[in-house]
Amino acid sequence: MSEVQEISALFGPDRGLMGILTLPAAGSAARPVAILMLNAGAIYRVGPHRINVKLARRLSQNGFTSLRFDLSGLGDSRGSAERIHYKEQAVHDMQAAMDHVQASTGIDRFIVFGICSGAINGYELAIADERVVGLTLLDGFMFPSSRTRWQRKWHRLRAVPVNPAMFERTWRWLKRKFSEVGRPAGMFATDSLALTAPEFEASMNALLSRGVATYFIYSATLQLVDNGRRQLDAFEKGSFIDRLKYEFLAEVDHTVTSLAAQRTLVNAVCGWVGENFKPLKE
Amino acid sequence: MTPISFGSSARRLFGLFYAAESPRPQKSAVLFCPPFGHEAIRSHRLMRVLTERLCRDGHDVMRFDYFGTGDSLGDDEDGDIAGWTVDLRTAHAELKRRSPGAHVTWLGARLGATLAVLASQVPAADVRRLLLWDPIVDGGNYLKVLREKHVEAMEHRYFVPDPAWRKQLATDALAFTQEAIGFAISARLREQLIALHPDGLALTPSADVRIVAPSTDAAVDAWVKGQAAAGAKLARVALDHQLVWTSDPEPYSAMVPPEVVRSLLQQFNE
Repeated sequence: MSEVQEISALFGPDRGLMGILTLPAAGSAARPVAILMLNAGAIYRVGPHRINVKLARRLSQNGFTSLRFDLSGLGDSRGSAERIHYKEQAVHDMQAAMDHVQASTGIDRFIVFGICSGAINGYELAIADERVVGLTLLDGFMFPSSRTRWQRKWHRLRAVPVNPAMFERTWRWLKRKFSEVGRPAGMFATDSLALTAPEFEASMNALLSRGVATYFIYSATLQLVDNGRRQLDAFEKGSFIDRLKYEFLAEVDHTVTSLAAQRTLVNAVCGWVGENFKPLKE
Repeated sequence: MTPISFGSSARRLFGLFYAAESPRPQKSAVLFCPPFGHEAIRSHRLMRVLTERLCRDGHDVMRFDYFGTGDSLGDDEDGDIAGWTVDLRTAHAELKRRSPGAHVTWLGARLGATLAVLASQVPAADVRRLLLWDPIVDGGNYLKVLREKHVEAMEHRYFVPDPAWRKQLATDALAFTQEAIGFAISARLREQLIALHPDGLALTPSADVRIVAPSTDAAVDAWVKGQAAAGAKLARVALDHQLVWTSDPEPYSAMVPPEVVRSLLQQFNE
């Protein structure tokens, strides 16, 4: 494996945002697109269990440039002086990140890799900025049908006797249920439920019509089995879901905890971006 | 804040240097020695908050990642205690270069505290003070805790966990010792952890040492007693806190417990 070339950078307004630019490895065929890697919840730019670093370095071997960075106030980035909603701020930050990559490398097309709240942010950026040409999102948007929701409950119930985490999980769910009524969603919540299915469908249709290559990955934290695009089965066949790649990775959990899960996710993402975004001279 | 890259080309390390807002009359600098694996990610926010507070109080601060961790070069499997101890001394030299004449404190947490003790045993180490928070003094026991917490983390993370994990944990002493909560443990690191014993953690007599740990930590108490009897200059500070090192940072466990910030900062004023 060639030695990885990484450059730390401060960028954005007042150089308050912190990120690490990973360049294509020497000898690799450079790709004309860069990957933005986002915070997952409050975890800093290296990602859950350092997955962003592992992915960036593997992508570098395949000729990809990437930038992993912290949104305003997260990780090592300063809080913003702008008085705007955090979602709007996240879009400004991601645009500043794209500006930085563009100024440093000349690349002006981007794929966003996001987990959980990072997936939501990636989607918002794709809507706001046409430089985004690809989305690869883990556990981003869920619009399951009532059948899928019942199936989830059934699988979970059946697992109670062998699941030591179940009692704590149920206790937390009860506490949440009774203490958070009326509480606004926090900045780390995957508040995809705030988005209605018709709104999501309209936005996805717009993105796919614009040619944004889309890869939705779902983990085994959400479901035991998924043999039919279950997290989006509120939408009918023939809708936008036929135009994106949907994959359930049974080995992968929400924060890619095991090394096997990390390898599976890295292989899946590298495979998909490699296939969809070819080198300049191939 | 200045992002920095230092060390040899084969062992390039990432760090962040923060200059004191208003330097003290006797220049002071603090080097953070982060914990291992998930615990480092878990405590990143806390370390940032401590850094900012220390800078405001007049200290230069440097944080860095050992080889194979964080943003430094290298893979998980490249990490080991001997190499990380060398990294710590490399980081110390870098901090001294950026903060000439400063009295340096190493603030180590968990395995980072242990590495600080080991790195300070070299006669050339000119560290003035060691601030050791929740040090790991028994590597074998730490490995045992890690493998249990790894299985617990997996059980929480999968919709329906595999019952074989817990059976394996109970019946195979080597099961789940190759990885812990998202990070690989190489065979070398595993052996080094098993060999890590309080007897090997002699404190250097030239440094002031403050050990901050829960009042119930009997292993730390026994080690402190032994070191005090051997003539080390040390103070034992009880800190019972709510940070769960091996948990996910949110939403169920505090990221920046105020009692930790208060207690650790207080050690710089005593």
